[in-house]
Amino acid sequence: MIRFASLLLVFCGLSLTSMQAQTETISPERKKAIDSLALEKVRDLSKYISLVGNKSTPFSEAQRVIDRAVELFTEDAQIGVSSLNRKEIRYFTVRRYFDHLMALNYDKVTIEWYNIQYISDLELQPDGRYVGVITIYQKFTGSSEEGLKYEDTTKKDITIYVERKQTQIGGKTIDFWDVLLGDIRVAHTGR
Amino acid sequence: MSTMHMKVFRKWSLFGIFALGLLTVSLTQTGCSGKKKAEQAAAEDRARQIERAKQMLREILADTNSSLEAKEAKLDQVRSMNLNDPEVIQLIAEVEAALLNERQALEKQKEEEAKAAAEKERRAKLKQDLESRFSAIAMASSIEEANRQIEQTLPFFASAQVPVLTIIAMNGEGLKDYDRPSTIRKFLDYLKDQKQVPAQIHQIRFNEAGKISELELIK
Repeated sequence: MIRFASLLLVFCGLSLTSMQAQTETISPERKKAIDSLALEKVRDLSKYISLVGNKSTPFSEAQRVIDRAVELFTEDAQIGVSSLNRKEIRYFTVRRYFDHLMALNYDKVTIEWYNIQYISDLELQPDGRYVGVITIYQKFTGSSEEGLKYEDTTKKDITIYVERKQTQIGGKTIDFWDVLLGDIRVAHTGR
Repeated sequence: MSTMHMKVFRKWSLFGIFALGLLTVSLTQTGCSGKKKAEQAAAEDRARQIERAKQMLREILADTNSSLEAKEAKLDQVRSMNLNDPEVIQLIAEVEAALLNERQALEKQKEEEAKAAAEKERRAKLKQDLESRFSAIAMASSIEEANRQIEQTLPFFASAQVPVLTIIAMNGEGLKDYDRPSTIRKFLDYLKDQKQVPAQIHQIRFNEAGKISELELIK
């Protein structure tokens, strides 16, 4: 009976701690900083995609950039790829997406992201993470020396996960906000 | 002169001699007593001076507020009394030793302050230097140029794995919100890739060898 009561107390204590963590309110200033951080990660990804897609980027640099880009995502994230020439949208793991990007059969590739903004604000979830959606527009241009050219504009939705984490650095505990990008879904593709 | 007169004269002579003797004794006694009093007064005065000197010396030893110069002036005042008293001499020696220690400690403190000020200046210059190096990497005209700048910047750090912390928000109570920690190598590559410096240097920590062991940035 005593053991049961102790277990119950421990359980209640853990539940309370968990609830406190989940319902921790953050000031509007801090929330704004986190929102900006997530937008910045998306802009970083945009630059990485542009660098890897650029045929003049040396192979070793592109491989290093891919490693940095992979670190931006959750482990199982997928990136959707569409084309005006086919109906279906193909989904790749992040590393495969970049490999595919590097292997594109064009002499020159330019990828530009613009209108990067939240379509769904970061909201606190029961598991303690903040989840939101950022939308971007991507303009893709691929051209060959023979004059062949492919162009499209795609609207993509990126799921954003923000989680409070801790790490030890130089003997001290650092609390940080870990922003991770989830799936990138293709919402629309046009010219 | 008649016999009568002779007797009278002899009588008065004897009286005069007696009176003169009495006067001499009396005067002699008065003189001795004055000398003794003067000697006694001088001794008392010296004793008072010795006491005062000892008190002043003890005050110097107990004094934690006055400046070293003020204490040294007080010691000189005691020295100028020229009191050849063993206890005073012993106390003077103690005070001299204490003031010497204080002087040495003060000089050491000044030396350390000067060293700290020089180090502060060196770090301020290093901060400026680093910020301009970060800009040079971000603004480099080519990947090769950026890589060259990176290789020239890394030796300022204890290793390529030195942590880089970026503050994204900080409240008045000093509570800091950080981005995911990175390393200096990754941060320098980031500058090259993104072609922009996303944050300013907030704090630099050094190891014993004077190399940077941690970098804190702020957005």
